[in-house]
Amino acid sequence: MRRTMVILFVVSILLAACRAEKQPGTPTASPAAAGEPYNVGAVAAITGPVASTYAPFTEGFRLYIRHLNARGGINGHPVNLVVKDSQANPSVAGALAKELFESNNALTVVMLGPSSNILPVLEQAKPLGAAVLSSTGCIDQQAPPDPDPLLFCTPLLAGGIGSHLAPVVEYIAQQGGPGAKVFLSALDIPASRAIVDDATKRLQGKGLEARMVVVPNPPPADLGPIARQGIDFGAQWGTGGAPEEATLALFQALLRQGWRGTWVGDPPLGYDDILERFKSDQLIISFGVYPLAERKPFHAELEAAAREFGSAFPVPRLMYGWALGVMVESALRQCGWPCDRAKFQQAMNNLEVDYGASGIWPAGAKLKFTPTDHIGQRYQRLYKWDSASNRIVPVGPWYRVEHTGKREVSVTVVSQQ
Amino acid sequence: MDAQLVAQVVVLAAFYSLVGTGYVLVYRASRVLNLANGELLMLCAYFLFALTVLGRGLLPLMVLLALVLVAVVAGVIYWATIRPMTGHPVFSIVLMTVGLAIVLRGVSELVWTAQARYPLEVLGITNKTLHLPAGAAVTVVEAGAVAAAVLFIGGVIAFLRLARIGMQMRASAEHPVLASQRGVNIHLAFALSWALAAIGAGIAGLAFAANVRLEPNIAEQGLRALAVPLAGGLTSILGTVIASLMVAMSENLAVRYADPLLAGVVPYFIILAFIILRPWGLLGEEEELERV
Repeated sequence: MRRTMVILFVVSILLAACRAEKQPGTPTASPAAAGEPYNVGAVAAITGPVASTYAPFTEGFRLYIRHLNARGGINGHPVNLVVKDSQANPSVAGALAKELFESNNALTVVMLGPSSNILPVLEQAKPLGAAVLSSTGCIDQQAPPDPDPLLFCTPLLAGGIGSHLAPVVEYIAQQGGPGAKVFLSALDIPASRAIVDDATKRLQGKGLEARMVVVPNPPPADLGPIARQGIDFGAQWGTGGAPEEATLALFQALLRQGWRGTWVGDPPLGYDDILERFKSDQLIISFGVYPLAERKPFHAELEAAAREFGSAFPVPRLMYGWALGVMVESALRQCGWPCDRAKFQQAMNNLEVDYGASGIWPAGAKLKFTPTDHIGQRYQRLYKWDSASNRIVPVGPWYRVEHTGKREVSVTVVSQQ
Repeated sequence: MDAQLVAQVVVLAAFYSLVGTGYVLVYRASRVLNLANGELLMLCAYFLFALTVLGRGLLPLMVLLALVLVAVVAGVIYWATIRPMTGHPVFSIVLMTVGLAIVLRGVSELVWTAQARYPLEVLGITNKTLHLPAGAAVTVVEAGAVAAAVLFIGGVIAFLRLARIGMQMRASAEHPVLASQRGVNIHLAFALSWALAAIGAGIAGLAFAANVRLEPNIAEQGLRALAVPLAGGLTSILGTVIASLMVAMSENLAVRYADPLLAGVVPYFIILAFIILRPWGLLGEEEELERV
């Protein structure tokens, strides 16, 4: 028995070592960047119930940091990124954030995981005056006019309550018209519920019949019974504000029961491979960045980095993490050298990221944070699979979505390109 | 009750009974609750995914190979980790299965990553919808899973009753010392129980991966199915089948008439109810249960 236990213990230690790795963005990985590093921590749900969303997102972020370090870092200073696995568990996320701040002297912690992990991480950052950058559904504490001074939200994969599904709501309302029936799904996590509840009310306010359903977290083996509710409701449209594990599974369950409506997916489904997999007229997806099919400059850079450094995930799955890397680089550049936690928080407060320059967003589109707005602007465009041309094509223009209040948003059409 | 509800109950019950039978086989043989059963379910699906390189024409062979591989892994697990613990408290062995579950999931994540996979689509195979009478609809994979569950459970019952090694397995389960003295290789019988259990879980895993998706977290479905043997009786395959229908019905009715969130709670509620009211389950043997 003792021998067996020892073998299991050793294997477990090896696995743990593989997970909580010294990250590839270390100074030693970069011959060009030899100065003192910027220490950045990340608490990421790379295993656990939503890992299929956040593991590739994290990989894209790491890839960008490696790419940045290989180009000389930031004025000769590399970025030392340390990623810890939260398993999507809020208490684990909090403990890891504390470790990153105390043991790794992190300037900031980037939270890549479900919204339930945001506040435990923030609790650890507050006594230190460190900024937290969350890459999931944004919560009210990040929205204008009085956001938490230390809490910022990346407007890429997910948005805030009111903004996340705004373009989807606009599209369905426009195409469906009053009286159309819409089935909405949320995952049983705070931001997802709030986002979908808000979208349900907006659709109802526009004269559509909308019904919301909350999917258990983690989702059960068979979403058929929940899908049946949508079919019995007579839904012509479907959408959701949740990680892929919940929304895409529900769409599949609807299809399995012969549903004929159209599902309009939110940005956590915004990957080329999903549209390519279904090749279905029944699926439209709102992308938070240009899809790979559009072949923008950042795609070429990302593909080259994936080739150079290797990646276990397909390129479309890395796009959002890459865009997050661009944001962190911009914040560190604005912070300058030497950069401390207070200076970094100030840099975040006035952050400007030119996402249009590299083709992540349409030309001229920039993300701007202000002391009164920690969500900023987000850009989304709907895409679908076109069977005639056998490729992914846009459905309508780019939308610019901006919070004007905690849950009030403005949606404007900005570009057809 | 409408036809679709009946279809959904049968499909979910088939899934649960495949996994649940695995728990029963291992428990009957060694009085161990194998908490790594869900991970074997996941592993089998990953084996299928790995074998998709062979091409779509060889799908039946791939399924067979995936099941054989997971059975071999389960047998080896028994031989390498559980067998040396013979004579130790059940608690230690159950903990060992928890450790095994963590190791298997970790290894799978390292090898295949956390990314969701779709084995059928890799092969270019569409999981078509079958329209049944009275407006019900199930997919080909779901119908196949029901048929596989019937064949597997029927096959296991027949094997245990009629085959020589099956009878030896029952003898080993009932009285290992006596069976051993009569020349039965009890460790072979126990290893075979693990292998058969892994095949049941493996079929469920293949069905889940083909019907929904494949990612390391599908192992959770094994834990959810634990309600079935606990309700049906940890020593009764027939009880497991009845409990599968009961749990599947409860889940579906809860979603349909109460709240979808109850779908996640119902199996655990059933576990609690049976542990408190009838710890040996519907058709299980009333035995002295070791408190852990």
